[in-house]
Amino acid sequence: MSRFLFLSLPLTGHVNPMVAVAKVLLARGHEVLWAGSESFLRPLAGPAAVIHPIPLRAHRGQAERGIDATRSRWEGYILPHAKYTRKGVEAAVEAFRPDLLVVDQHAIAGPIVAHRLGLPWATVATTAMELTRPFARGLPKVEDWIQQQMRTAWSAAGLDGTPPWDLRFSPDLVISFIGEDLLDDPSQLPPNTVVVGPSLAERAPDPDFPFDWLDPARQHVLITMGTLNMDQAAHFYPRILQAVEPLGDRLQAVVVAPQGTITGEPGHVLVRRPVPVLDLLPHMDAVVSHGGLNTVSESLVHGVPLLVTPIKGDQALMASAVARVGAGLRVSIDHSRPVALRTALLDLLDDPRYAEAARATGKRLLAGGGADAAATALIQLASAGISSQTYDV
Amino acid sequence: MAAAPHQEIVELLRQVTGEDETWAAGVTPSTRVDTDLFIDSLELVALSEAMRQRYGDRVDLAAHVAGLELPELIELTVADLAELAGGNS
Repeated sequence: MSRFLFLSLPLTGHVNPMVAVAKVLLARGHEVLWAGSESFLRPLAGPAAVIHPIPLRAHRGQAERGIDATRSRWEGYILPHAKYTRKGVEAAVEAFRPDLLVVDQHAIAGPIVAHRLGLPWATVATTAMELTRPFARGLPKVEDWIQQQMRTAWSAAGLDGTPPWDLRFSPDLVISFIGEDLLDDPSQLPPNTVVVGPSLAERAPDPDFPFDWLDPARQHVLITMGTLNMDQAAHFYPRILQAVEPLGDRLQAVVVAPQGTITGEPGHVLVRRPVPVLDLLPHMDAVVSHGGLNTVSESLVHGVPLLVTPIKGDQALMASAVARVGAGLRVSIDHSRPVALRTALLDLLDDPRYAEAARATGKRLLAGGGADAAATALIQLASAGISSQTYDV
Repeated sequence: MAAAPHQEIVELLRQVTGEDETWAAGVTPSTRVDTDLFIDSLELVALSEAMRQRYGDRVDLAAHVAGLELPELIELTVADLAELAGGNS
């Protein structure tokens, strides 16, 4: 049996897929320790999870978008997170003596500690932001700048020279939760990548959600802009609400937003947060989303087509991928008027080809094996490395 | 060659974004393309093509942005687009 140290970032969409993998590892008799903020991880990882606490504030989202978001992601988030967590990760390694570090692509303290202590590590990609290095082609100097950021983090940790590998890619194993259908260019994947697709775990049911509000005689639309984007999507909610306003005779819409942020909604619109997305999706005919990987994957797995309005990061890649496979449409969150949004939404609801493409794509995504396949790859690597393992603590 | 008129560039931006005259009226030469207008990657491709058609093959916005450093991309303005169209970049 092997011991795995899991390191992520305090971001729901990043942690959830890893939780599913941790559960499979535990079920197969292995040990998993999380290093990170207990108050953030506990509700996601569950009461039985073992957590080496590293106090962190939850990420509140970033104000920047576009290329500026890339700058602030590295300068304002990834590098400070690496600096702040490194000692705690080292302490977790010393206490737990893992066979393998399992590291989110953006938690670069992981590979830094792994290098210092001579441990093998595996990368998990929970977004498409870095996986195929999309900047390397269109905006090569942005990719150079990211490389510079990683060298800065390396030096700041007191290590000599430059990183022996790209800190975003383990030389041994990269696990992609992004199915091939959702990648802009699968040929750009590192050679040791295992594409497992969506890693979904059951989530706690929401006994308060009024499922009986859903009228079986009408179609249903879920409108969700993710957990971190309320401010940046604020200008979008009024327009999407205008788009669905005259459609009450044929559909009901569930809008994910804190109660009180949207007022005066018509009777066929329900505003709630949080909502039990996985339990709702079987009732949905379309999803309107910013295009976070998890929302996109979960919708497709349930055969639900998407209207994607990317805000930042890899969401534009997701939106284009959804359109490319025919499972939905990409529209601009900033530049789409209510009439255009309504037209696009009705197209999704009226043309069965979108739902067919969503179902077919969802099947292909699941064929990657998800959390189960990820656990198998991690176990293989951990037992391969176990004999040669040395600690230099 | 002089920079292209500001209004021409704004009109091309308006066309690729599908925005209206009110939106266009708010765009000034110092408006930043990425940071203020949130021109996304698809719109940038469309703008690049529209500028090529309007100003000729030597105006290649996609190649121009590929050569820019990250801070320059953040600060790219509508005036910079007009200059590029006029052959001054």
